[in-house]
Amino acid sequence: MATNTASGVPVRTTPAVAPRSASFFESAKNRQQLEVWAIRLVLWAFIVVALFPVVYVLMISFKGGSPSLYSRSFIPDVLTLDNYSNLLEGNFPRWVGNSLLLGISCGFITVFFATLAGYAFSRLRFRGRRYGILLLLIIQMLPGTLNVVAYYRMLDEVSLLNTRIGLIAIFGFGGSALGVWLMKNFIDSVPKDLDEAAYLDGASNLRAFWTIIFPLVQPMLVAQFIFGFIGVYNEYLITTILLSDPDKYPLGVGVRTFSTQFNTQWTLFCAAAVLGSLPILIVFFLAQRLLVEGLTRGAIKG
Amino acid sequence: MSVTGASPTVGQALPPVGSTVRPRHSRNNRSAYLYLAPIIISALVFTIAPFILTLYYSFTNWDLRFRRFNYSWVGLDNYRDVFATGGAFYPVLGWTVAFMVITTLVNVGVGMFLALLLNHPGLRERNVYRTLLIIPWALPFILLIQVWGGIFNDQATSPLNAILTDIGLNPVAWTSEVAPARFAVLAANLWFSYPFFMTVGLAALQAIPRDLYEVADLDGAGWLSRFRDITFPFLLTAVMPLLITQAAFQFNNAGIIILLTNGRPGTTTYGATDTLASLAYKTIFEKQDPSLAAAYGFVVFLIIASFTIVNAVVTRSFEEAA
Repeated sequence: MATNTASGVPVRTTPAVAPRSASFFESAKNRQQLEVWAIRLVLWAFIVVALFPVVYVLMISFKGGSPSLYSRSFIPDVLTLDNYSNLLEGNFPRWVGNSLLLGISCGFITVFFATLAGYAFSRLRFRGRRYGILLLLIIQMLPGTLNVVAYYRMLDEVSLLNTRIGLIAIFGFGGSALGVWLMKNFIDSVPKDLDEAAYLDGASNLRAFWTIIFPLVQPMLVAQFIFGFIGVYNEYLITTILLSDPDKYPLGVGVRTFSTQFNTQWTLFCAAAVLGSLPILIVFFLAQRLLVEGLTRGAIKG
Repeated sequence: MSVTGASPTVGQALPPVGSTVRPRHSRNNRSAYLYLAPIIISALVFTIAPFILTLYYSFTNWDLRFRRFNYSWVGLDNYRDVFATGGAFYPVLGWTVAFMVITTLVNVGVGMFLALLLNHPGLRERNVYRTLLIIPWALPFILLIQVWGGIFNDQATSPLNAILTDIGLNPVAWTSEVAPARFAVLAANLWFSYPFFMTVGLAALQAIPRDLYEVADLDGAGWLSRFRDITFPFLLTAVMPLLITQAAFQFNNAGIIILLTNGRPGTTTYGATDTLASLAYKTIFEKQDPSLAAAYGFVVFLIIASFTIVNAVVTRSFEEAA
């Protein structure tokens, strides 16, 4: 793992190459300019295609007229806020509330568990440490589609089927192995000397954790919370099976009732997609640095 | 801005940060389990118990209509159904593997390609492009996959078909024909996935020590040998561990199939875009057969788990410095 990063990369040496002349240098500069313009062209082409759906949805969300099917042009003839006001009169605000409730609860539970366990895996020595995380990660590879049968039965057994509490239990407690793994890697990157110093001062594990580790991993906590929130926000398969009451749907599942194939309220759906995406987009870009670091520190280990 | 800002950290993380940290002395033995108690208990209740329960159901004829106690042990019947000749398993397995391989290579490849473009030293405004290109990652999957469902719609007036007609092509029945439906799944999946790999790739590229290139320059290495001997090995090191997890994730990825095509086109037995995971999911309610679904799910689990264990052993990615 260590050897193939910095030191082990082979640098091929090609012997005896004629020194570059001045005129060659000139043309190399020109060629770089040309390269940069070619790259710009490719990037812009890619961006136009990639952002087409986003622009399209934004346009349609302000479109008046028949709410049902696609129309030939996606540039609205009349700009209107009708779609948005219709949305706010329906079930939409309730779905937003449900999503917030689910996402925030599950985010907190995930972060709490992942931090404690990540600390133990990173700093403490105990039996089962070596394969504990591997075991957690493998168990979590059960397809959710497999677990959902059992979830259904379990929630039914304790009369929590079709309740938001049941869903919070499943999502909050059911899925933090990846979080533990990322948190462990993050805590690994905090210098060991810091908590050694605390131990020398006579601090307990808990104290060392609370005063040394916790403040340093706060960026990761925020990142994990956001991941937890977005994970629940994006869940569809399990949610639709465990909830049957549209009043209890989170936003993404509720909005699906606008977009299904043969009964499409397309302009309404687009307005909902815009409203439902904006907060996530904003949070993502505000916290982007944390999120990227949180993921890549765990992912890139060399 | 942020990614380039974050990359030094990523660069610092490139040395084996995790593996060199030595665990604390044995006096901490017992308190470790206190820290682990919440996750152990929740894993027992919410992951291991359902797992065992599902395994058990896969040997019964349990049915959602029977609800609680009215079912019986049927032995390997469900597994026989799964592997029955003429059934859905083998064709769906074929597409699942193809989907996994293609989507992983395409997603990672496009991400890396964009990272390479963005990393060109002459490209001063790279952060503008990076920000625009990262947007699909920042948008919620659940809503945007439904947008893609609208875009890849069969109707002649659907957004994509309108464009095709405008440039003089025929509209495409996106979810009624096999090849277009499979293309749609791969394209939508690429859209959601490339920004992550682009970001990781860019971070890895910017962590390459400059002096390596300077040495290569002194040696008179050309563009190709710089790429082959410096850039590519570094990219590969950053990406290899991700390739495997991405492949495992995509093998399991029922969500994109269910929400985009629901397996269409196809028969009630299975569709051309169904993966094993989406087939298992559809078996629960559409076929009202959760115990068969459990058998499917368990087979999928065995495939993924062996994949993961082999990977962990081969790459030693989970090993700690002992």
